[in-house]
Amino acid sequence: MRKMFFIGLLLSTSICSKAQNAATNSGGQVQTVQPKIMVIPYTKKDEDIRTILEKDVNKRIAITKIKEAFDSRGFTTVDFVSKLKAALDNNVFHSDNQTDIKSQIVQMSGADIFVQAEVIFKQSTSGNSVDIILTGNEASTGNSLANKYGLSGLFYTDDIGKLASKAVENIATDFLNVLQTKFTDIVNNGKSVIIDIRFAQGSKYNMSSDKVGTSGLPLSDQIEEWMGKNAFKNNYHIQGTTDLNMIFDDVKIPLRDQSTGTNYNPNKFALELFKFFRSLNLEVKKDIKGNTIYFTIK
Amino acid sequence: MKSIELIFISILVILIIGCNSNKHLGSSPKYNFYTAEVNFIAKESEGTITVNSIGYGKNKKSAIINAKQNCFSILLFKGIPGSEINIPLVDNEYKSKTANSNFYNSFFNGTAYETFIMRITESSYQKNKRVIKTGLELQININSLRKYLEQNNIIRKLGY
Repeated sequence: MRKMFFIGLLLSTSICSKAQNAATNSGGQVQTVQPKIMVIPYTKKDEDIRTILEKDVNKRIAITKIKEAFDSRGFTTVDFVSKLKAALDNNVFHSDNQTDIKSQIVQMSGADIFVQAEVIFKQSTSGNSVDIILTGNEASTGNSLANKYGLSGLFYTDDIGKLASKAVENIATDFLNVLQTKFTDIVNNGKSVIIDIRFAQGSKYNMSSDKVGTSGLPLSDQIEEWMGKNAFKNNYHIQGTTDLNMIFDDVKIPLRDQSTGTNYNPNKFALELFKFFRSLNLEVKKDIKGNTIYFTIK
Repeated sequence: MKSIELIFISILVILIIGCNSNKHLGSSPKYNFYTAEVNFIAKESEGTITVNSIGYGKNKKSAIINAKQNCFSILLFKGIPGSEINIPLVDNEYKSKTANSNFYNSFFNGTAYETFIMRITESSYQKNKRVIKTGLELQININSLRKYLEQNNIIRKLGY
């Protein structure tokens, strides 16, 4: 009787440990993880991104109008101003280089896509106008997603904010529509990740090593073979292979696990590649930064 | 005698198949046939567009319905150059129509599309021997139409 009780207790605890937390159980519903989008201002070489938004109200208006367009389509963007403030409060910036600061903010925010807005004010005797350039890029790969150039038209006014707002209004919907077609393409054909495979200093292996695994093929070819089988729809691109380095600058992974229907991410793909290296008896270290996966073979 | 019976049966079979195929064509929704005679006029206010759409019919009523259906078919499946909807709202017409035939039947053959028309003005009228050609200036509530399509899972929301 006591034995039965213990077996029952063991069974029930094992079932409970595998079950989903009751507080978070969604009954099997899966919501696709949405991309994080951040709208940032364009900065020239000599402009300080830290003060540009504080001083230039027109750039703030343009950015707010773009965010408004995203909101009207039910999409929440990452707020650049609050990220910037948080970054300043936490003293994350260690460099005076503007480009570095911009990429640091993009990296820190975890944004997948950043939309850059350039506001150009033009004055003439026949009226004033504002031109706006919107560019949307994938943060990790730099792939261009949408680009639009908008004009406010000529008006006899000094209200640059109003002109900027008008210029954005003219192109925002169109910009989002183009962005949406790219999203549809990502849903159908997978999203891009970068995979960088290197060797640790003093490693006895290189990409030409053919004593790895049992196939007798050079390591680089074995990796490519694996990539061909595992990249979504066999879609991958090799930037280059040397003896010490192999870079896949565009590997497509699905948004959802094709067998379970749950969300799929670069971390899960990296784990599969990690298992592959383990199967070859290679000791590797993996690092993941956004959509970039780094492997170091020891 | 047998060969006559065989000929009679085969004629009957051909006739039945023929009738069925005609019936199939006849039952095809009218919205499947549309022309590209929809032109962008203006964006009068945020979230709306005004277009000029041409429709044909045996009488004025059917020509007006055809012009309205034409306008929505072009908006959904082709896009209107020069407007902010220069990319079609629906990504793949064939796939979408196949997967959501009930929705499209009720949308076009019912009165659902009428709820997105904010203003109608007759812009032209021509009467030939058999056909009436009418032009309508329509102001469409695009934001509302997009939302409606999203809610009915015809198009995806912005994002993945």
